Amino acid sequence: MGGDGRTRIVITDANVLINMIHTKRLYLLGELHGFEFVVPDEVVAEVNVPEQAKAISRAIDAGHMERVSFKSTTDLELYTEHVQVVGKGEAACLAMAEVHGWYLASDERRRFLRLAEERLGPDRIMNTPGIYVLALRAGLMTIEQADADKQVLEKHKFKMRFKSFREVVGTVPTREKE
Amino acid sequence: MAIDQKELGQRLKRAREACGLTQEDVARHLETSRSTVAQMELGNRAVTGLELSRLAYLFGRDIRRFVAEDSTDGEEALVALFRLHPDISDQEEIVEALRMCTALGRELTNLEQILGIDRDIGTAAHYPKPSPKTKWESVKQGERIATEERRRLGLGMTPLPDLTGLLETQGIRTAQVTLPDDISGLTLIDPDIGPFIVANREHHILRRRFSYAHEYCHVLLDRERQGMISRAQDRDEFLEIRANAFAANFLMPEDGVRSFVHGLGKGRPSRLEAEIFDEEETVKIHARSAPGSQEIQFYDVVQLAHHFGVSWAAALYRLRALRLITQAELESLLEQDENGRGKELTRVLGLPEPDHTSARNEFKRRFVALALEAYRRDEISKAKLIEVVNMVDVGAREIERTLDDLGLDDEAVVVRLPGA
Repeated sequence: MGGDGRTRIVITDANVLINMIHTKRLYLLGELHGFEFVVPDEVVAEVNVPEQAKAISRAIDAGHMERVSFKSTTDLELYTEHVQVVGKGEAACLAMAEVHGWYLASDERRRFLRLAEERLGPDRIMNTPGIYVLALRAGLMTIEQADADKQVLEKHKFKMRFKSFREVVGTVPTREKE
Repeated sequence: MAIDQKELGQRLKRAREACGLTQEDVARHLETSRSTVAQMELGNRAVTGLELSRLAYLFGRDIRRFVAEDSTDGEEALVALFRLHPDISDQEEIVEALRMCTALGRELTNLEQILGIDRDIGTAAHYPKPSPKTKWESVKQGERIATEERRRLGLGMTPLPDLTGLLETQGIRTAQVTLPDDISGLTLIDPDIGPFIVANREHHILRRRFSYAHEYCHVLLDRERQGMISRAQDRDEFLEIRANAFAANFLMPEDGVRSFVHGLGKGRPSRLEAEIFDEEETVKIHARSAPGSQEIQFYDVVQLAHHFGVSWAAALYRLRALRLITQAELESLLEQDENGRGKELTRVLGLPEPDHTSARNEFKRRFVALALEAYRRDEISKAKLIEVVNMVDVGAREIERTLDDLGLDDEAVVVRLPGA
């Protein structure tokens, strides 16, 4: 695993992975410079649609992301608390992000987002549209491609609060720019 | 400060041994090797969250207890059951049902706590009685406690149409779970869950009512045992006889049954005697009921059973226990029951059939509704909601459709980018 000081490790929840599978962009996770995406065993286990599970397995084999497990009882203890109110995959992501200072990628809103913001702060959370914005800024895809993917995701009931990535690609600030 | 891997390993080992499981058994459930389990128990290998979740289910334990600094709060109900019924540990169907019951009890407790539903688990009365030594003593204890409990609850001699509601007011959680056919119900008294009564979901609604009353007796009288399984093969044991006597008396109090039967113009002795004092002497008066007029018929039994919400057989045995029918009459009436006479009489008398199909989902409805409410109030995440409702066989797609229909899952997202 990276961790050279500049690379940010992002632990990734199932909903982000599934969204990237829907748009066939899982490979993007391995191409975003400065980020290293990891996925915990608990998230891998809860993706139980066979084709999606295979896609994740292929992405791990291809090095687009790395599979991670609990290493200590500290993150395990946090997991046992979180799992009372969030799913097992979410609890694992949050516990590991907390303990290791990692970033979190999740599209969950409501309770999980609130808990993640409480535990990690808003700056350590990203989501699928955020990954697309990073990919656009890195020149890994075009606005047209991103908007086409947006339509695919909307068919899967994943709605975004903007019409086109053109509106947000340059306007959503990152902390680096502030 | 978290415990270390070695301590976690020791706790896992103790929990496994308390459930009478081998490392091979655990390895099979975790889909791993025995040596991996051995390494976990030695503290040489980290345990994943998924593994710990599975182990918590397997050992019937609150997952937090494995890693909490202080985890010495008494024995779990599942462990108590293994201790009390060592023969069940190799009956996988029963053990699996017990695990599911324990897991449901924990999740139900979790949801209620999240939603702020107060349940004072100390509400239910406790009647510390010595264990009966004979069948007769068992019956008498059961009858006496049922009468006392009815009095304590101010129930008079009325029927108990909402028995589970009554138990819930006594701080007892209830559930219907599919159990092996020879188990009518079980009671778990866990330090985290409190008293939890489970009735076999596959049994008829009226039988389930009897089971709830039977298990209630175990809560009132056998609480220190922490767990009871009511199996057909144990029905001659004194504690089971006591619980059955309690259930019959609790559901069909003697005064209530006699009053109902008198209301049918029956149940009086065939020969009546009275003495009237006329200031000088008494005058003896004798009367005789018309021959056959006091004989209880099967249609009387059907009405009595309907009134108290019990099966025809339960009503018949209660009539016999109260000496309102003879042994010969009991046998004749039971034969009519076996011949299916009850269904026809229910129809002719215009009595409603108990809604077995709908009633068997009563727990599922309550459980799913609690989970939905917790989600609506933003107390649990959608993934947690899906995990919870999966426990009662509601699929992810089904619940997602429901959230869509309820407008609970249509929030559009903004772009979230990481900071430096």
